[in-house]
Amino acid sequence: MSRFLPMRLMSVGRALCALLFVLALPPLEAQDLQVDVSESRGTAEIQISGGDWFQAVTGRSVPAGARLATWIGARTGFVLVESDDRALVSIGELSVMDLENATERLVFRLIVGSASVDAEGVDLVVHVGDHTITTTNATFELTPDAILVSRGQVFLEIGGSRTLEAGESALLNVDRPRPLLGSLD
Amino acid sequence: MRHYLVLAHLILLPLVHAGAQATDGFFLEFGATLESEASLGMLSAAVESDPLDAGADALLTSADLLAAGVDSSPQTILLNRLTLSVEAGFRLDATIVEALGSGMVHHSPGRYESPLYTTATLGPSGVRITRFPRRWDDGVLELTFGRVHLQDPSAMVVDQLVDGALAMVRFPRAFALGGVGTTRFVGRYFYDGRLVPGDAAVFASDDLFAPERILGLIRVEYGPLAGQTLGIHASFYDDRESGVGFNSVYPGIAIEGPIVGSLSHSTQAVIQATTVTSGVGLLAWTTLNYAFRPLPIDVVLETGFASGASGSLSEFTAVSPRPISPGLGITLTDLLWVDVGVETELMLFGGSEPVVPRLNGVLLFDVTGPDGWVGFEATGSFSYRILSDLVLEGSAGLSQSELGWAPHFSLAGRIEL
Repeated sequence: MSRFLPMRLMSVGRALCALLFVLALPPLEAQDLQVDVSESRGTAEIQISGGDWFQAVTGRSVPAGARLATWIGARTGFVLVESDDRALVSIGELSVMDLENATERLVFRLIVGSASVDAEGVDLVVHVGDHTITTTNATFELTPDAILVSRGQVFLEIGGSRTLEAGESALLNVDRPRPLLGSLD
Repeated sequence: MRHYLVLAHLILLPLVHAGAQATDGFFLEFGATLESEASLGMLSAAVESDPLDAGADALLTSADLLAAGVDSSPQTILLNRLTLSVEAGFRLDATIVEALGSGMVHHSPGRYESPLYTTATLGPSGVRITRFPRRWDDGVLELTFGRVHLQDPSAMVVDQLVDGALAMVRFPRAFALGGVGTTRFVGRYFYDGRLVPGDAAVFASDDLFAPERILGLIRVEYGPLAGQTLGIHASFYDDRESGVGFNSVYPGIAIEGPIVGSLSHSTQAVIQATTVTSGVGLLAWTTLNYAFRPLPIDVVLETGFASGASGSLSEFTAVSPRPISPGLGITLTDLLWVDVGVETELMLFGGSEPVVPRLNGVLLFDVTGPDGWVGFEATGSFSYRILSDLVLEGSAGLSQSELGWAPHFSLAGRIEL
């Protein structure tokens, strides 16, 4: 037996310990942003994890995966708790939206109805069907077929990327003049 | 049915792969749909041209069938329909000009004595001009001349091919449509809808084509307004025989949108009035849809009412080329109905597309008083997209109405290319 064998075994052991230590470290993950309700007016409700619906009272945390519903005249505001400037997203009118992701950006998806969205100093993404709307400071109305910008600037992806300024609007489906109600074959 | 579907794949796939070319503004596109449907049920009274040998142009309502003692005789029918379309167009700047061609073959083996009932319509069907927006807030404008499709928001009253002209314009918050055409050269198999008997009688001819009538339709829609989408529409029928111009009009309203949470609604009403006969008919219904999440379950509750002030205007007769379930397929007259449906999605057979089963229960209340009756209908149905271009649909059920007990069954396959 080689006299160097114990030293080699110690080296291999140290290497194994180092490897186990590295493997035991938690993987680097993007931290979820903490989103709280900052404003609630009218009938505004939140459904978390597909459970019961709760009134969107001020201070309630909204995790990713939550569903938000607002009634006529209602408006719900959200803040990013970690953000220095307390960035704000406000959603109102008749809408149902999902908060799909809240890691680096707030990612919503319009499920049904129309929404009035107000973003202030926050990286906001709204999916509508196959289209993506991105902004940091803007106010806009949104339906499944159209967007109308009243303040700021939004970036719209319809095939390529487009920019919409305040006062501009866009159809989200322009292949054919599809009705607002029903359908035409 | 499998025979037809496989045959269609063999014939149509090479056609499709040969098309869909676009170079330097010019493009050529092919489309094809093959439908094959086997049904057992009540034929629409106005369409089954002469089940009682009453002579050509006979209009047979459910009341006629009841009086003739054929009320509980479900009919079987096999319908095959092949529709081919070709679009050759040129895009210049923001405008597209297209020449449209289409061919339709309607075949129902063993159903009719004359082979002429295997009908075919071939040839150019029109020219379409589409102008896309130069600026984002411009509208999209589309003009079509030739064979056009007129349809009200629900397709409940008007769902009709005509030869004429159609103009549509769409802005981010508004939509408008105006169209007019004649039914004279449209085969009587290519329509659907629900009309009062005087207008439905057009389709009761033994002729391959419907008698000449002119149909007009206007639609104006706006939304969202307080979260709701609003629409008004009116369709006009011109009875050439009466010589009084557009004597029959169906004005209607439609409102739809979310209510709260996952609950949304669609509410519509249509009135029928005529300059020939006094009185008006009313057809109104509202549909509530609740999306029960995270489970993929949709619950639908529809409540509707049909009534009239006098005579034939109180009846809305279903006009359809295929057998329909007796429940809401009967003539709607002084009738209240409540339809509860539950629909879900199931992933079966290891496929990537869900099977969509649906259960429906319909209660019917005749509100005419002591002679009224109560009926019901229970139906199970499914829809399954086996492949991206192949859909299977089926339904089976049982109903009890003024026409007695009646089963209904339908199995259909459709290839869309």
